[in-house]
Amino acid sequence: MTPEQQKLWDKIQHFEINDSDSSYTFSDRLRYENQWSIAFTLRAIQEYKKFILLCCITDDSMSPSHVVDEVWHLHLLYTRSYWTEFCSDTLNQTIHHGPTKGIEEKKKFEHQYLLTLERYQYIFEQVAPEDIWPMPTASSKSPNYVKIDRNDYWIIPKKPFKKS
Amino acid sequence: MKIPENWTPAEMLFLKTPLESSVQELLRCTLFDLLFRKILELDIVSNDLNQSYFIIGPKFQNYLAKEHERTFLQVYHMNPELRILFPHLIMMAYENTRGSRPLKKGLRNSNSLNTYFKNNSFIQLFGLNILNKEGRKRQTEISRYFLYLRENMNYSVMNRNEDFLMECLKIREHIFLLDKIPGTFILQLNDTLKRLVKTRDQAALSMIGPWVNYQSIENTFLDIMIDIENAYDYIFFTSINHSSHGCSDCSSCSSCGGCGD
Repeated sequence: MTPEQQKLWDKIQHFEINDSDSSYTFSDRLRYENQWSIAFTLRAIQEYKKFILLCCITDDSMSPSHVVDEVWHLHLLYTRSYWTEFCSDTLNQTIHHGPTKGIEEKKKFEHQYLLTLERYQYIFEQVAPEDIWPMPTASSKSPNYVKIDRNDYWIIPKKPFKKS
Repeated sequence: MKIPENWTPAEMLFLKTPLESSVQELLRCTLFDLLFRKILELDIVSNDLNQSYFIIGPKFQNYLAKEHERTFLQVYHMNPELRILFPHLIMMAYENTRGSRPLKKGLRNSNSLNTYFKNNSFIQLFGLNILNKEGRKRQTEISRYFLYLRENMNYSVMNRNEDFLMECLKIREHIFLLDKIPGTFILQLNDTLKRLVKTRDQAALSMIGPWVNYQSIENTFLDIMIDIENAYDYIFFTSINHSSHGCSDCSSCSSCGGCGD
């Protein structure tokens, strides 16, 4: 990491994503909506910050993991925090989220994702944690999300004893 | 009584009151201990401790955590650069304990305490915490010692006793196992500590151990501890209440994406 990159990383690390006035913070919401443990939620936010640093310092397009993408999606909902406090005041640049345009881009995103993992290892001098940044394999499946109202449905996990 | 060097305050508390010690108390003294030994540090960025961050301290890297300490430290082993807000740290530790029984099981089976508890398949099955003869003897010693500390503490409040103040500093973070320490006594302790640091009395400083990590005369460990002590119970109550009940039943905040003001 160059001194400029380190400076930016320090700023990103010190950026507080939680609203101090709120009793239901960004972290609370992220944890609740994804049913993650608190430790996993805090680590996911940290990995999101790392991903954003990679976006800022790399000319190539970077691609997040599904976990990091969930953090990003939620942060985009907090428009004042994301666009003003984070992008304008902290990063001094805008980072747009580009959703996939379809199946034809699958190969492109896979390539970008592998590139992101490479850049991650180079910049942070460590391998990205497997539970948040899984290595794509031939058998790996994309998440199959669907929005469910828990007032109307019970949810029974297929792996009841595995907790993220 | 000499407290073994490798005993943590949580282990002391658990041996003293294996049935009554609560998760809240055990986590509190574990957190104080980790701070005291500079395994964790508090980065205070505002007057509101809710907005202060726990980060790893200088002693973190080479420290081999005990099981009950992993409730706080495990996440830092995965991401050492994490800055965790006080309420989130408490919520996380509480979640990691998975309740009173697993936390106490970890303490009971620790190298420091396993010789003091009865252990057979029946006890394992029901998760009972029953002291053996040696354990009861140790328990009595600890209880008597803390009674002695309490009585002398009350006496020192009226008639400052330097020898006793030094003794309290020597038992290090275990002093915080005494609840409701009079404010006057804490001030006396702080005065003694600051005077020792100021006079650079190396012989005395070496005896009181980790207190000397906090060599700033303006801000000793006791100053920080008083603030944390005052905030802990409230943060614990609100964090745990919020994490275990507050959100799961309420759909109003989770379903609302916000407004356009």
